Amino acid sequence: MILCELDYEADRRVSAAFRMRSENVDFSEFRVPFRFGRDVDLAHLRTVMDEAKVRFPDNPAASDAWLSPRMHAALRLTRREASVSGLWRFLGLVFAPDYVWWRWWNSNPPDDDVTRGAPKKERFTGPDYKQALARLWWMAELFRDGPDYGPAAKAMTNQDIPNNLFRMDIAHHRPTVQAAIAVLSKPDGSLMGGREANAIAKAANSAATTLIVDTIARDAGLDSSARERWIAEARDYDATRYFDDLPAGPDDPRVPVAEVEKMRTLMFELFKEVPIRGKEKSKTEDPVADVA
Amino acid sequence: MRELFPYDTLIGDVSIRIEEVLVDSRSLPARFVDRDAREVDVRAVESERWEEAEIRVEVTGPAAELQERTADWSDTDAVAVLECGHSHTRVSVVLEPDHDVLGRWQGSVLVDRADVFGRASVRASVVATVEGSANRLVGEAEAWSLSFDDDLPPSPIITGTIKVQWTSFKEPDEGLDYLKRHEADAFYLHLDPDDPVVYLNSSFEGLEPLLADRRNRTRPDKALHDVTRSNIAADVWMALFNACVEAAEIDEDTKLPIWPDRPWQKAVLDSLLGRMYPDRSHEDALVEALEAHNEPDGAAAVQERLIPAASAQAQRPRLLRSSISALSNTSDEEA
Repeated sequence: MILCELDYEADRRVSAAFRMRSENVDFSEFRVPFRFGRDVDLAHLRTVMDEAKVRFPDNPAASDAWLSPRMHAALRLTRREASVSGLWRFLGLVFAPDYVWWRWWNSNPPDDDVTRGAPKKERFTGPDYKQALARLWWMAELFRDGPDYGPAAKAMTNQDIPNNLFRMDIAHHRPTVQAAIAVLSKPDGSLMGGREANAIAKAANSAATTLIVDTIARDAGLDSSARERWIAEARDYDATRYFDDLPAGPDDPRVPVAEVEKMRTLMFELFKEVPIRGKEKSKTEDPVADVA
Repeated sequence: MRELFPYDTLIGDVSIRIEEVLVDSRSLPARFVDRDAREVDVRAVESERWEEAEIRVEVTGPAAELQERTADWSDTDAVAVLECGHSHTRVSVVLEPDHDVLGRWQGSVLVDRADVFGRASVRASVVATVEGSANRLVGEAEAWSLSFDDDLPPSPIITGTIKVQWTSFKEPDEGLDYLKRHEADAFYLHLDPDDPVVYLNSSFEGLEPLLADRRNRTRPDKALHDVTRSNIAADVWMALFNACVEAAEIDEDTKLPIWPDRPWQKAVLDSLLGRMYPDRSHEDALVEALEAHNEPDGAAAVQERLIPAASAQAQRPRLLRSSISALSNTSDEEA
């Protein structure tokens, strides 16, 4: 199957019954061709989503870190293309609602939930930080370090990062993003839990009102020819070879280590000053000491 | 400048001028670079594919003040930042100071077409080392806006907020089949967040001539024209507001509003909130509307404020009054 778009009007047909998987809805009248005039083959995307279900049968949420980079490598788009909400709507409602049901069904819904835990509409069709596939793709896009998806996979282990940091303008600044991952990383390689991620995101965001991150840490940015080559290579890509190892993203220049260091230094300072909700500052172990 | 700064900032203005825009090395005609509105309309040249744009900018700050400040501040720099919300892209360039003129910097921001979607902003900030602290923001220019051909041009009726398009609902254009279900309606509001449009039904008998901009209408004809236009506009404004409020949230921790992503959504809220809550700032008004919207009885209170606000925005009272007056004059004359 190739990638299409689904018109916004399709949203009105997303009934509670559809979300509960008890009603078939025909969205074909809303289908339009992908506006950029190229055929994007969805076979690799199907491969990785099916493999995610096999690998994480009992804990769909844990599949995010595995699937995010692999989805990005399987569905090769420019940022402009990925900004079209119609394509995510098509993927969520027509191509892969099965994935949405699998990942976002709440097996422990509150008693007053009449849909009995069915995924909310925003997971099928919604803003890019909520829609089930868009959020994985964009997290990989913003948190990769050039071709290295390692930081992106790590970032997805903490749901507060896609929910909060990802939505802030500072997440568009690559040195800030890489520094945040570095600061939140524990010695064993894992990432700190929710509250720390939120705290640092808020602190960095408010610091950005008086400190200009773009002069603290510079970034030459992305390379469009690297992206073009990587997209062209999609036809030779074998998604099954990267079930254990991470695939490679577009060969953009990596964020210079020295620039990440500058942001890291700033963030350590901010982190030390920030009160973490739920913990009294005096009773906490100095979180910085563990990773300094 | 905001009042939040714990240190001195520039009192005089910082401004950014877009000198020239090169699209694949060809200069964008000057008429597409609007210095008053601070807008660059790249759509104008988008019938042809292009790859890279170069935005040449000049930033100026208050020279005399900057001269005085050299006593306390050091490492003064200016940076230009292009930001596109839809595509999560940020391109920044530290500008070159003009060695002859203090307070003037120049440079180019390069952006790839593949990295932007819809609209982007270009901002300039002046930074300095203040009280030993580097990279402090000391001045900011008003942003410019760049439009790309992923959105569609603004409309005449809804004053530049969203597009208006005529199409037959009986035999709609490609991709608009759903309009067939609304064949009996005069208009249909399509609320795609990327691309909101009001469709006007050209197969609705007599509507197109009625709504067309024409001089020499008879008074009853003009009255109906004005009232119909403003009724449609008021309905559209109400629907737009309700859709845009849905896209906004309140931050649980700070209690501040989180405005919706798209500029048109923000424009709709900006236009109406001031009318709905005239004694509040826009931020407070949005918080109040959101809190009420989420309560079972509060939602009605919001609609109560919305109806006259949307009506005023569409100039309905004024047009209705003038129409009634015109018609009663006509009937007087006929009597």
